[in-house]
Amino acid sequence: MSAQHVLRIEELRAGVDSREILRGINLEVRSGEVHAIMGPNGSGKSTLSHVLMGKPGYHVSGGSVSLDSADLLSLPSWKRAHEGLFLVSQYPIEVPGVSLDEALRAAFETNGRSAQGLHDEILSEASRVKFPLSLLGRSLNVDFSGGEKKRNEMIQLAVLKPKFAILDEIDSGLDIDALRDVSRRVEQATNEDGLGVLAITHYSRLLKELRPDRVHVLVKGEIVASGGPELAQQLEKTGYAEYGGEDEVGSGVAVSGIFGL
Amino acid sequence: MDTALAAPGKSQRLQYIRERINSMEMPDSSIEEWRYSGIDELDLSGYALRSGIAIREVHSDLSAPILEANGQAVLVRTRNGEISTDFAAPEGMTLGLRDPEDIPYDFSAADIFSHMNALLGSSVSLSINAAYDSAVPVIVIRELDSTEATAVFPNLCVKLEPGAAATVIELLLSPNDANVLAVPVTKIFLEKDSHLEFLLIQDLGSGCNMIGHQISRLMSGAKFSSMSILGGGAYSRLFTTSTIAGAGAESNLDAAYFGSGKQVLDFRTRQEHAAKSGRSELYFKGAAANDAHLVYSGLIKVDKGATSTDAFQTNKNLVLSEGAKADSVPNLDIEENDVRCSHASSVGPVDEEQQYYLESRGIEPGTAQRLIVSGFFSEMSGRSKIAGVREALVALTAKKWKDLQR
Repeated sequence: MSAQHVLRIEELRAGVDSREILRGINLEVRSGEVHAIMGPNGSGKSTLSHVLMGKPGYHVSGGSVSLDSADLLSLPSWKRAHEGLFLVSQYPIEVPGVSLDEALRAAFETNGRSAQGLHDEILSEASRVKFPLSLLGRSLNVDFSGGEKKRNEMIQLAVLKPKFAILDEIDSGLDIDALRDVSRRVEQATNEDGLGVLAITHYSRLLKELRPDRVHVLVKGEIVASGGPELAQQLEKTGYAEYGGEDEVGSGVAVSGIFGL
Repeated sequence: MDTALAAPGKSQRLQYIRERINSMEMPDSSIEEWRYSGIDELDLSGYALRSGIAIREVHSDLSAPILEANGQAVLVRTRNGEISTDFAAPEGMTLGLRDPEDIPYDFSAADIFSHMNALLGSSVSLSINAAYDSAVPVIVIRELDSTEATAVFPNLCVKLEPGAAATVIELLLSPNDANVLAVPVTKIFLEKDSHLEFLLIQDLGSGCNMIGHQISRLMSGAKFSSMSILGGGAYSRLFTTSTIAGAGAESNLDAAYFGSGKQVLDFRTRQEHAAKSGRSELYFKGAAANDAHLVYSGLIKVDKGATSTDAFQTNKNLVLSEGAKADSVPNLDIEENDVRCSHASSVGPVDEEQQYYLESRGIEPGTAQRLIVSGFFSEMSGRSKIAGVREALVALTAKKWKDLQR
């Protein structure tokens, strides 16, 4: 059994410029747990993931976020990563001329970890998530398909071995096979390494693959309901309207015609 | 081009050059071709011609990967421009100490410095024909050195005969404390259906200045691929002009340069299409740190009659500090309708999204920035077929980063 860690969000208030988007979020995720945060557009889902990781441009007006004893909000993103936080980006950024190998090596070196055996580990994790090995020497995310980008994020997750991962709408741009593979890999990390997961999504489709322990409904910057997996199913039927949200909960089927999913 | 000079005798040629120099004035920044250059602040009066200088050992981080990756190369060594090794030319190559007589002197766009080079320069001339084994690269090492202010005029002429193929690498190097004004001219003349892969590495010392020219002329079906990697000199200027002189020729001009300290790196380019169905693609990328200044000014010129031309020009600049700056001025002058031309330029800091993405993986900000800048250059490596280019591009960032940490 891996060590128990806890990611604790208390009364978190944050926003962009003078606009407050998150209005007092409380959440606790422990090692091995999968929490889903569902919400309509504009509810603050992406803001939450960026504020947790420390993206520039957001300001925190109150509350705290801690990982075990570390006060994350006082740290720059790279130090939050060292404390064990990892963000699986919704749209992984293209970094021309920088390979996965180079990036992970630099992350290891920054953190004082030995990069010995790193390349072999990357190869084996790439095979595990069906990432084309021919893309490994190429620039990070450049000309990768949506599925390749997310599989690549899974290699990074597996190699960096964070304590907690935020999955920011990982179902964006994924076909059903990729979504299943990525979800399996996350699930394995929760079981094998005790990874704690905060999965942020608009659609219940992801949750059929990822099987959360807890589901939270985020509307207008507040968590308005929390429950077990049955909450996601209920949301699919009733939508967010009952919580004051305006749009429907997509099952993923409804949008398939629009996004070519 | 002055056609009367297509094949002049030597004395006639020198007389012509003297007259041209006498009729010219030293340039200043009010002239468009020298705008942004700061040429007025460069005191050239202290430089003298000196001979018999002992050249010290030169170490170059930028050329080391090239020498290592091309161990089988034919080496031609020059010191302050003059050839310094006994040289047995392999089959298919002739080495001369003056330009071949059938090369026109004045390709185009010559200025007072290239004229001075023609008058005062020491020439190394390579003529390569189809019998040459194109798998064997030729490396011309030009070591420059003097501790007293010395002007050096190295002149390299590369001529590929019809159907010939070759790789030629030019290394322009000096010890770091050398005090040299380098006025190099490289002339490339590609006959019908010949193919040249070319690489210039300029790693001059920080007290040197350079006013250089690369002039290429491509006959029908010829293909020229050129990569220039520049890191050295206080003021370093390279004027690149490539002329599509025969139908269907293709010229690819790439450059990677990184300025630090108070360096001024100044690039002027001219892609001239004088024949139909030609293609030219220029891709110049620069980074500036500290108080460095990058200048790019380029022209695509499509002459009347150069139909079905494809000509592209891209200049990208990364500005890494408050004091650094970059001027980028792309231009088109098109006298024909049936052409595809584009130009693009950008000047800006490291992309914030890239920086954040790497930092969110646990990479410290300075290292993330170095990786992005290194990647900015090394993603160009696929554009050259020459071994070691990727490593040399990585070395450009590594060397500069080392300087920045001091």
